[in-house]
Amino acid sequence: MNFRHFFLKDPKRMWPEATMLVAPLAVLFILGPDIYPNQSIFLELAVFIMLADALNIVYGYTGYLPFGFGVFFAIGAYGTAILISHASWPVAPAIIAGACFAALLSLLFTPLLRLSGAYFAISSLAAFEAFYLIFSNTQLTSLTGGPYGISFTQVYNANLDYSVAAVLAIASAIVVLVISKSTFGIALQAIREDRFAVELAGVSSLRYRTYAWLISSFISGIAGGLYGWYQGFFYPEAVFNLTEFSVLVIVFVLFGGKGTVFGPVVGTVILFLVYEILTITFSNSLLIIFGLLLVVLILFIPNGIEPLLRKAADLLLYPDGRD
Amino acid sequence: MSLFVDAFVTSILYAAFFSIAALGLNLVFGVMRIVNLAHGEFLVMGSYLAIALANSYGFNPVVSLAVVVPVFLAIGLLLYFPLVPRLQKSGDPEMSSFILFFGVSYAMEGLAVQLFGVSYQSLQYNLFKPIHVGILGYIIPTAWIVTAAVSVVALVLVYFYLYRTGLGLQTRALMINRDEAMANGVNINAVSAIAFGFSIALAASAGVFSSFISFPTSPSIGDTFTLISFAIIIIGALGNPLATVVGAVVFAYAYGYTEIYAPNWSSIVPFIILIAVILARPQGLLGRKAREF
Repeated sequence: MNFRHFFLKDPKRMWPEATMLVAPLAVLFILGPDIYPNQSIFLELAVFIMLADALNIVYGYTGYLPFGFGVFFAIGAYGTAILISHASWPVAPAIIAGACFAALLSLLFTPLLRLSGAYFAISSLAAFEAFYLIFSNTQLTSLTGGPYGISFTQVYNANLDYSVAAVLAIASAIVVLVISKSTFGIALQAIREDRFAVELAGVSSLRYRTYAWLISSFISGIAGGLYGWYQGFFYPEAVFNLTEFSVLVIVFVLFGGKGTVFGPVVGTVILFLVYEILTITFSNSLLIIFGLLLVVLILFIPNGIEPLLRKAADLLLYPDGRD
Repeated sequence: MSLFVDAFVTSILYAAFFSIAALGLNLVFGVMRIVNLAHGEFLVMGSYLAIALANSYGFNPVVSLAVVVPVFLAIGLLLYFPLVPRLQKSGDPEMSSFILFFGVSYAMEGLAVQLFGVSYQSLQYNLFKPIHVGILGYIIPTAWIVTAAVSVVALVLVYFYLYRTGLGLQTRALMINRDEAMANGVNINAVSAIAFGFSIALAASAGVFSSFISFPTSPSIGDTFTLISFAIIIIGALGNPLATVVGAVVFAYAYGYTEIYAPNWSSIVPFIILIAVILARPQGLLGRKAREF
């Protein structure tokens, strides 16, 4: 395959948007912990930005919604933890290897990409549950720690982890930007809009979807490894958490605007902060509020806030209309 | 050997119960092409209503059905109109419904926690007298027999509705081809709303008996029921209500036997079967073609 085809000829056109992505995020990650001295919240924010970008590649660009998407996150976390605690690997290769496990798992699931949407979503949910039950099974305690969790405190380094996560969160946003400007991203969008037309044009939609799926699961795996590393110790429920690392991410992406470059990032930053405030102040009715928020989102603004923000920005910059 | 036969008998009861637990989900998918991820939560709510009726009025579950069915039929009809027609106008109703009903299931789970707390609750076996009956030398709780009997009656009623009534004919037409059904004068909203109401009422009636036969009732158990129901309807055939029974039988026997011979792994069984069936035969054991390429 000729990978030159994957990139547009004119990378310079990406600079303005890249700056608009990187600068605010960099400021947020550098100054954030000084303004609100709770580094772990900002680490989670970085992890969620990576997950949102990863989900956006699959859901936003190909239209396939893997509901049990968090399984890759969890495999990344477990892969990293097992390599560090059983094989004493250094952190960096362990995280990369953990992400490779996640990507391998996604390869195992590529046959599911042939299915139509509902089957795909449900089977990924089933895969999530199956892997949770395997990893938390008491009979595998010697390998995974079973329900008692897994610990690798010997490599714990919160500050380093935070910096790496912040950099990689920004990098994942750039990955989405590059994809959106490349022929690869254009192919994915075309597949989402009309798969049959794309097939008729001689493009293998299955192959492109598989690439998107691989990239997405790899990024999720990295996010899982970084999250696990920051915790130093985790229970299976902490990483196999359908609510947080699948559903919340889906909500973030939807709120921001799926299939856009800025949407997932903006959506994650805004809603994650709202979520944290809700968790602290209304922990009792959190489920109800978030459930209703989801219902309202999907019924009234299914395309997210990105188009609205774009319109507002256009009005500010070009009050007389663009043309 | 007797363990083997025991599992055989209890699996029949499981199959009957899980058929009606999953049937409504399949009806909704077949008619509306949407996925009701809050299905299990409706089941749990039905269960809570039955427990409340038993605790305050000493209602026997079969009597509670007379309250549960109309209440949840009404809830289903009321929920249909603000949610579903709007959903079906969106670009991708199938995917959107996933997220929408996940939101509904969240809100319902939160509501259940607020109303009933997080502890496990169950109906008492002694609501039925005698508590146990002997059949062919087996001692079986009367509650199980009643559960199986009610499930079979519910299945027969659904069959009659679908195959012996005018509305049922329209429902089936809608399942086969939405556009042609509409062109032939089927009132889509009316037929779908009724199917949606029935689906919720079926889930709630399964819920009335769920604490006898499967899991004690708690707000978080809804997801488990939703996933098991999904496994069952996909094993049978998505969008074909009566194939649900086949899925339930396969599921019940696989579950019943692993529970006896490998109890540590029995909860994984539905998911393993589900993934295996999806990969090998995505249209389900009885379904038509579903693979796109």
